Amino acid sequence: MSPPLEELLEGVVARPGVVGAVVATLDGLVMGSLAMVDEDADAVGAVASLLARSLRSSGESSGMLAVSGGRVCVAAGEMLVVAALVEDEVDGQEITAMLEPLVVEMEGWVRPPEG
Amino acid sequence: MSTLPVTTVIERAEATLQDGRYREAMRLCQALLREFPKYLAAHRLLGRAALHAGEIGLAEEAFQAVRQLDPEDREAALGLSQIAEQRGELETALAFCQAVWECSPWDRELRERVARLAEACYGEGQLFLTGAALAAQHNRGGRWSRAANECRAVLSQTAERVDVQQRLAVALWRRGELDTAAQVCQSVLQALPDAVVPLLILAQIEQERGETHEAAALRERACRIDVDGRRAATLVLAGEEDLQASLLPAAIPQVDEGVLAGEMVAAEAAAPEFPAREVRAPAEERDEVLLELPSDEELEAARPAETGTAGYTSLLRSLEGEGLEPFSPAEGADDALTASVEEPLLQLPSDDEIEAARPRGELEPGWTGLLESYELEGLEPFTPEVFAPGETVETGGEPQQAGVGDVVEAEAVAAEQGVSPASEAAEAVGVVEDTGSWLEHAVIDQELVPGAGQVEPPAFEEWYAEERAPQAFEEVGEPTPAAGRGATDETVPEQWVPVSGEQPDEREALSAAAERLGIGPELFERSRAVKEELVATGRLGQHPEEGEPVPEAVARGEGEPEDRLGEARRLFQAGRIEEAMSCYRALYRAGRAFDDALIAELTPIADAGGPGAAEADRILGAIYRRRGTQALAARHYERSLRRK
Repeated sequence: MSPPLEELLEGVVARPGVVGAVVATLDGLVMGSLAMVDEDADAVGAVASLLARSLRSSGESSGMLAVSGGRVCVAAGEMLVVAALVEDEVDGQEITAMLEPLVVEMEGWVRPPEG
Repeated sequence: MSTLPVTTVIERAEATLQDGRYREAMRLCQALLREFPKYLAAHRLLGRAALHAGEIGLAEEAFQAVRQLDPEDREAALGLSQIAEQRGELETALAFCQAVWECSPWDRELRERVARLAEACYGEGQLFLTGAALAAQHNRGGRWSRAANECRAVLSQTAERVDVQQRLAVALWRRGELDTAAQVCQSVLQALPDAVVPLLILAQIEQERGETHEAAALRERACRIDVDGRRAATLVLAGEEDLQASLLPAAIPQVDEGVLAGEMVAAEAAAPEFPAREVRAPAEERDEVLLELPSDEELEAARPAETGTAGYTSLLRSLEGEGLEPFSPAEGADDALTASVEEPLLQLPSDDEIEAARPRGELEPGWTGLLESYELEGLEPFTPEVFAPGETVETGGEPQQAGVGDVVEAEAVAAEQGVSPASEAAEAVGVVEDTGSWLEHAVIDQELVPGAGQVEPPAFEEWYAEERAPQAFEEVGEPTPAAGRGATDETVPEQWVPVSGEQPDEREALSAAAERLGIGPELFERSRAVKEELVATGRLGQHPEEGEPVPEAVARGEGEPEDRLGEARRLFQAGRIEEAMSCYRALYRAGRAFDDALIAELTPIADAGGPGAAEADRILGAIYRRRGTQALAARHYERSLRRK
């Protein structure tokens, strides 16, 4: 049994300036979210998915996108993408760096056991 | 003699049903049906009341009548599922339940019921989101093109699924493809002449074509079924006042109170009211009811011919993949409302079909479409290969067992090409409608939903593709989005880090796409509000940087727990409640090592109900939640909220 992914997002959302976070599959299916209503999580998951694909196509694994109202910080793994909604005044680079190990940890939880 | 609106009578019958006076509710419905023989709501309520009263045959008849009037009706399918389950016909129960789940795949209760029935039938398994369910999901989100594509993919396998045809008709009508929508409506009406949704859509289409007489005739037919306009109202979106005025009945019909009074007098004379009875009757009562059930031989004799249409596949796999036909439109539609119980309205699947539909022996990795956290299921959610572009996943299933699992496989193959598996399937059968992305899962905002007859804006991926490759987009032939749609007048800050290979066009396209999906100041504001609520209710710990100053005793970090707790206790005893609670919160965040000590300290404070009790309850709730003791956590959170 995996722990709720939302719990893993708590550490992100608890940070100042982070208003919400989503974990989704690379095709945008939301697996969990924190501090977001479902519809918003779906939208952020979809954008995170597209960002992740764009990042991966250029050999990157994380990045952020400025949007009206703030920024979307993203870290992409092999299966999942974690996104955080971040206020403008916050250091997005720091949040993005924080997301990278998180997505690895999450993939560890959801990856089927080998064998 | 005065009259009453039928809606009042229905409400009265519903209240009577709620009071446990099932027979009385049945008689009210029957009185209504004498006046309005095709009244959808009355049939539905009659079915519910009869089911509660233990009149299983009558309930079944009523629910089947409802399905003839609206093949997507939730209560009818659920009622039939309950009846089948009471009879021990679990596969039939599952079939009906799956049918209704496919109409509302977001409904957790239905999903759990499907899973429970499936487990009872076949053991542990996985719940796949079928094409029909995806279509319902897209319809709900206003993604009409995708809904239509999914419906077509389903219908390419099982052309006579009238519920899916109906879903397709709605999607096409909403998309503005009026001619095609009309054809689909006619197809449904051939199978189910009194299906109210196609009648309503067709009436609207004829109205738009200027065929007012035809439209009026269709509307009149629909009004005889949807007497109170409740079903029509579900087709109207917010802000569509004109459509509402057109679809809904101009006036609610009246019924003579004498008719109802006569029913009640007759009822009182006939028999005393039955005591309230549970749907699942005790064994002895069930035996009494089950006496009239057909024997195995009779059931065998009632089995449809091999060439006939079959019932729903009763499995956790895509119905359309089985080549089965859930409805039997060719028979019984005309006289469905008067059909006797001898006429088998539900076709039983053959043994071969049941065997063919049996789930695979071993679970396969790879989830496809569950609508909430997978971890709650305790199942393996993903196989990395599924998402690796260009690779396929060995499903191990027979071709005829294809479900959404196979769609996932197709998605993996098609990912690089941006081609919808559903579209591919549709193309293979000549009904292709290339509308682009299959990746979009977001619910489209209400304001993006076009009204009837309007052209649906291209989907996110389509729009994105257009931004990046306008020429290629034009070749697809999709409608060009309205000028400015999706773009924003607001200046987008130039922050795009670090994606070195990104081009400015792509960056702008992504930002604008995000905006189009609703990611903007309002979404941030909503998230802020949710976060504040989480923090206020103790469900989310604040990071020290934005929370209150951590007391020194805690901030030092090296002290013994007793010292830290001692500081908090001292503050509390000194009446410095806020500071003490702040100290306790900091200890909670410091890790699980202090949990036991905190529980010992805070439980008396919370139980006393004095100053700081609400906050103590919140912290205790958080501790128990962290420990996985959800019941205790809920108890403390609840008490905390009550105190607040």
